[in-house]
Amino acid sequence: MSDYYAGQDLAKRRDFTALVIIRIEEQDDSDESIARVVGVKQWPHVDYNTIIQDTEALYEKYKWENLGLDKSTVGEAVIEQYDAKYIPVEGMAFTAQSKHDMVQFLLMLLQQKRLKLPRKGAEELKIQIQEQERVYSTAGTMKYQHPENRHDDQFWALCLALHVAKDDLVGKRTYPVVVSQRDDSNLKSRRPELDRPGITIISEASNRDYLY
Amino acid sequence: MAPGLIDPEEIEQEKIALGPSFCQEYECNFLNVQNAAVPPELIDGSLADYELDKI
Repeated sequence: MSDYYAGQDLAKRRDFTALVIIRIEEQDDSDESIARVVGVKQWPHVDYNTIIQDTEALYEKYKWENLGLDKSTVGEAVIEQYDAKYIPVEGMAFTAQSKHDMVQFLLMLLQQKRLKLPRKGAEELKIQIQEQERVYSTAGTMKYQHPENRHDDQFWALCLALHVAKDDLVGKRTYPVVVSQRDDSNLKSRRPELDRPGITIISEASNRDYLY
Repeated sequence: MAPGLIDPEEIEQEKIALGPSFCQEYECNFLNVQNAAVPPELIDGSLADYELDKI
């Protein structure tokens, strides 16, 4: 089994395409694994044939366990190409909820100091993380956006890589952290396996229960 | 001074340097942090000394 995972955000009309590769690493002093960003690539165009060829070459080098890819718009067609080349890939529909879930997972890893970024060499990725905004409409709906004339393809590529690595990252935890819309007591009564020390319900995030 | 607090002398220096746009500068910074999806301190805490692969 590979320790590598990747995420790819495909260019639409004006954006870039970005690929972020992460490696899952054990820690000496903890049972929890970490995700380390080991590679970032950006294509300044929408030539999908070139992107697919380059991605295939990178897969030959890293043999990642899975590649997360935004399957909306052109994603489905690119997924078919990757499937034909036996490149592991998982398409994910970008919706407000799926984006929110990915950002919540990113935040959890950052809070637990389980995501590592290089101090030098990934400046654009760091800036895109910093620039990502969560805004609310007057109707109360939330969306993520980036400043005008800026990009967020590397940010979402990282989120997609973490998303497909989620099982590997959380599987090595000794206890789960639960994110639930319901209150603590109700959830623990429904899920008796969670009613033990070390399990924390950390926020009200969605209409589903997540075991991290 | 406790970590994280702003030195009043620094604020005075910035007031002089920025002039009338001092308030706007701070308001913009405040609004940026309010909307940030990822708190800046979390990003700083994730930085480590190693090199990216050249891909």
